Amino acid sequence: MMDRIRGDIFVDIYVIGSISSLNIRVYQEDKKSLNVIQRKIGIKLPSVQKAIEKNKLTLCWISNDEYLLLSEKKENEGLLNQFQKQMNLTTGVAEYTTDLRSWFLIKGNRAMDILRKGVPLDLGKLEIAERNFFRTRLGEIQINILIKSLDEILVSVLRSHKDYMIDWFEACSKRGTEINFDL
Amino acid sequence: MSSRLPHEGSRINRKKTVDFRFNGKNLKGFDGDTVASALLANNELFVARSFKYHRPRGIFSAGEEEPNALMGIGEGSFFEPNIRATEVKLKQNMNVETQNHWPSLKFDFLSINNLFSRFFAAGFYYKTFMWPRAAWKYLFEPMIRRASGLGKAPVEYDEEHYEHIYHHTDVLIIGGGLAGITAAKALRDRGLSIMLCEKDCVIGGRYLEDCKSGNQERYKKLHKSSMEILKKSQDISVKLNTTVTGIFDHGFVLAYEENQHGNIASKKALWKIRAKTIILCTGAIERPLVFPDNDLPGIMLAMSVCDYLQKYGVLLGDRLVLTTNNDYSYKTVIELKHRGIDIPVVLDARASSDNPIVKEAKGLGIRILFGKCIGKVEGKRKVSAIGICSVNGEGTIEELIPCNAIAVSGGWTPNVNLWSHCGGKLVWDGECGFYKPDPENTPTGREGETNMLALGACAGVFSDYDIQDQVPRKINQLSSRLKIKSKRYIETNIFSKEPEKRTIPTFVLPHGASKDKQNKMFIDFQNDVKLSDLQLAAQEGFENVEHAKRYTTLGMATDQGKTSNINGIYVLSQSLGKPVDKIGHTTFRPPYKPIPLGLIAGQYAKKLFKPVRKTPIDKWNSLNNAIWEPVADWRRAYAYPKGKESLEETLNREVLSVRKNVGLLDSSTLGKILVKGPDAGRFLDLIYTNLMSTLIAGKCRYGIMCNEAGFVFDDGVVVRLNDQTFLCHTTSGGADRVYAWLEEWLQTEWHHLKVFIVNLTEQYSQIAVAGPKARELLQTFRSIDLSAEKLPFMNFIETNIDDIWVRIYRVSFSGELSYELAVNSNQAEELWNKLVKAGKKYKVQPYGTEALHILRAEKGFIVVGDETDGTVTPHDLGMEWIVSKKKNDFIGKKAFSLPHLNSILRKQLVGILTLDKDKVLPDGCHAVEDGKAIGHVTSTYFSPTLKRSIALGLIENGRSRKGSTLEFESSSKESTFAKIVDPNFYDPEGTKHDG
Amino acid sequence: MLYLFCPTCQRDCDETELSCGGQAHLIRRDHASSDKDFYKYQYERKNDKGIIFERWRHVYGCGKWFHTARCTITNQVFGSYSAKEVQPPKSILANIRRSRVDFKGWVK
Repeated sequence: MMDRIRGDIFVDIYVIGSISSLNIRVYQEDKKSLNVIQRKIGIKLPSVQKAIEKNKLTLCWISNDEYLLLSEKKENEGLLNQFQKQMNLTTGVAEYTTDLRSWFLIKGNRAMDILRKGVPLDLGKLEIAERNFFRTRLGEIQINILIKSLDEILVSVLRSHKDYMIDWFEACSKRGTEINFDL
Repeated sequence: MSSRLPHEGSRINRKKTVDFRFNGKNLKGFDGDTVASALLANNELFVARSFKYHRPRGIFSAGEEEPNALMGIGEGSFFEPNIRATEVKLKQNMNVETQNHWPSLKFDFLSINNLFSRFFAAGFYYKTFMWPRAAWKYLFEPMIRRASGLGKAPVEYDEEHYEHIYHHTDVLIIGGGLAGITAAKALRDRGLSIMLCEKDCVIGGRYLEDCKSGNQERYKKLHKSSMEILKKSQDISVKLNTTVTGIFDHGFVLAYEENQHGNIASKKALWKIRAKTIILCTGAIERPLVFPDNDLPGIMLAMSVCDYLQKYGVLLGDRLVLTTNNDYSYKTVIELKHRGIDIPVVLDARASSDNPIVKEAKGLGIRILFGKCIGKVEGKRKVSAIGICSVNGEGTIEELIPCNAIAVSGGWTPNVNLWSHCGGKLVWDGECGFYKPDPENTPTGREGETNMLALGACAGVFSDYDIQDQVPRKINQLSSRLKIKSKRYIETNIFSKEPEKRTIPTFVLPHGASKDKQNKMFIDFQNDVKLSDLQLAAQEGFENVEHAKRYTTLGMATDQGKTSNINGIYVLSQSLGKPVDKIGHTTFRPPYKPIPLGLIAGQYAKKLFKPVRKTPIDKWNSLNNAIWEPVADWRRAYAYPKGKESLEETLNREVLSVRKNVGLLDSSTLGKILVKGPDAGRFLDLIYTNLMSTLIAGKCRYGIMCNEAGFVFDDGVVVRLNDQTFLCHTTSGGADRVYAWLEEWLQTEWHHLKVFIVNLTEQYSQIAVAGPKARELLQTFRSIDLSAEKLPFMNFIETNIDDIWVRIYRVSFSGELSYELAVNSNQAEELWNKLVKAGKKYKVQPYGTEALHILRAEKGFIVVGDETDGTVTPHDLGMEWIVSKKKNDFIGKKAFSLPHLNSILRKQLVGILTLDKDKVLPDGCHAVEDGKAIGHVTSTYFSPTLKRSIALGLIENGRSRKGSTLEFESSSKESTFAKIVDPNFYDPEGTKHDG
Repeated sequence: MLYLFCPTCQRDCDETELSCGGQAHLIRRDHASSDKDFYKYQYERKNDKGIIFERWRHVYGCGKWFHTARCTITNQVFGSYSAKEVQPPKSILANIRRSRVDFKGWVK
């Protein structure tokens, strides 16, 4: 059950809450840790600002030594648990960060528009098609953006910013404030 | 008398009447009118009082250069002052008010200033209000403040919808006139994204009106085909009603969109644009000639007269005189003459002109006098007649001609403001009499490349033929320079080359105007700067143009001298006997035109002004009457008053519950940073002043971090989760700072260390259960054994409370038996509720941050930010024990060996007990000895436990003063005496923390 | 408003995504250093008009530090490079020389 942000707004925004996730830190040359990731998760490390999805598990690139693993399926919990334990036996890190973030789903053909009101990145279509996980700022706060498709975007903020984010969405998604060009 | 013609007006829809109110009067205009055109249609010529002399002023232009017609528009929470009436679209029931007068526009008390105008010359304030000194503060300043300023600030909250929008583009074209449109067409299909911003509500610029006269068919055809191309080109995005107001580094551009599409009636957006290349097509602004009495209502820029006629069907007057120095302005009188308007005379300052347009005017029977200009204007509140004089002379009137309107044209000034915003230089074009962009000194972008190109009138290229000829060529050059898909763009020039005849520019007429006349020749209308003021400034030695500008305030009004700059610079050059190009020009700065403050705030007002971070227990706190305290971006419960309790009673109850029973604290905001890796211990030894690598897994240790200067930076408890992993707790406000600090050292200094850190602050919530009955409370959940043997002080265990995983640290910030429970944030509220429920039996009380602070102050525990201020060392705090002597290196070690950090004169932490135990010292008050401040109070409370006032403070050589009494200045009138003691007021032996 | 290239994210960053860390290539002086060297490390910073080397952190993005060479007069940027470099890479210096013939090279 997801809450939808109410009001006369030009996109659909759902308040998801938590998504099972782990922050992973690993050295590129640390074969042992990489091996654990490969064996347990079965996803090769994504390249810069990419996310790779497989079996409802998504591995997102945060930095050259930091990744975010998302699980959108309950059945994966046991796997995540094992992975975390094994990973922490290496010099890498896997820490649960499920409770740390609050997620939102933006849906609709104007999904990108709403982000353009707060994100200083070039969200032009070409670049989006190539790379799809961004970590940047939205207004005054940090935000993670996972672009599933041009009309389906997952974003997350620190859980303490959840209410602020809802207020922001309400203020910026009013119908009549779509971003348009003339002629 | 200004009026509306029965037909005509390309911008208005005569079928739709719009009612509006002007100074309380109900008037009518048409849909599409600007406030200015509607006022003119209603014969409201006199619409403003000038800034300094309160002289009557009329609408002077039809655009953003307007210096006079500034108005208060809207009402209540939509009221906006100082808006140019020439730019605002008229809306149904709009309220329009004039400003800068009292009691009314027509009878303005301060117009008396006009009679004394010779006393108000440049530098008047500096010279007049020098003495007596006190008079400035009590008499002059209040008086001047009341008299000065234009519009009134709104009194209600601004309810307008404002927002920011980010946009990225390869090319930004600024201005949608002939040059801008041609540039867009030439750039398309090259794989570039192109954005075109036009300030007007239609594309076309000047030629739109030219379509209606002269070479109609050619213009119409061109316009039609251009519009089709712009519409169908996917790579061109056009924004109308959008004014670019500033250009900044690395192609960052701010644009102000005043009306967006959509059903929100009025909406304003600030576009934050990143453009790789900027093409400036901002056109030119007509400038006036300077002549005696040139500021009376009824005088208007020639092209604006024509604009009102063609766009709005509004006539400035039915007997109009043109005073000019150029050919283009003849268009205005020809258009008027075609409509049967009486043009008694055209005064052309030049010796002659054989341009076809002049011949055309002559052919229409218009009387043209060359070498003549206006020597005086008659009329009190509006023009009634002009006196003709010769341009060369002092202005002897040869002939008086009655008229009710004057069109004035001193030529055109390229609109170069934006070129200058980010480093572009200008060159003086002596032949045409204006500054234009210097193609050798362009604004540059991130790679040092030229990132701006000026085309068309803003580059000093005025004829349509030249524009159509040059723009494609320059765009082709640009494309090959940018190495973009280089497809040559060719456009057939539909215009014919016009004979180029340049005339020596004139600015001030008559050339030899007498002193008396000079005193009535206005240069800057908005700031009331006269010719005589500039001459005075030059005489008094303000030779640099920037100095003269500030001395006279020329060009410093909200219009930034759009119509006055060049004339002012010319006058200065004449007065100093220097050529204009040696005078230079003042600096153009953003914004190009004023923008509302609300636009700068955008959506970040009210609830969005600043992010408020909420803890997982925030809902409970808020339902339980918490008073909030901001801690960094967090809101934390400061106290939980019950019923009619006073705050003092609340704090008393909360503190005593911890001392006597048990209390609960939401300390979720505490920073929690995981440090993991084979070198984690080594790394923490470098970060903390004490040893962390020796900490045994399962144990906690308090630590302090200093910076390299040796000053305390953060503190908190470090726990060792296992061999490779530590969890470092930081202060609530310091979590992000400490996280960044650790990353910085790891990434930039000690990158050889194998350590990773993760900021887990919000993954875990923390709940403190403190008080003698804390253990009993927790043990009601049968699963856990928390005996002192099982869980000794400064140890932790991991267990479950019911089915909730918790990590329980036995640490104490109050001196009592205390447990801090870390829990996954999603379960924090559930755990909190369980504890509240289980605690009922023990009369558990939630306590807030203020009680927390009192409890720790009673124990003499420091708070970073209270007892420290970035200049305090651990030694100052009496915490030598925390600075390791064994460690080879750590941040701050070198500093601790420096003599000034070991001086006995340093301020040291002490306890302070007032002699009068009910007297609580004010926070921050100074300790005074022999008239000298020797320290200050850092924390001060009434202690409910000790039933007396307690304080902590930093006092020079404080530790050796223990037992002595010091004087504290609690206010300017009063002193309080207090005894210096050990900073530990409660249970100094530390017997309580075991319960 | 600067627009700098983050070598980790391989993309341009608005200045609002970054935090500036001042002069790059400082050498840390520990407790064994002389008072004078320590003073220099702690308090002495260059304030050149012209080319500077400075530290930035992509704080809203990957969180990584990087260095840039920038001209304080025109804000021309000559490239970003890893914060692990102890001195500006040759390619950056060559880039500077291409547009600043009088550039004397990097001074410690």
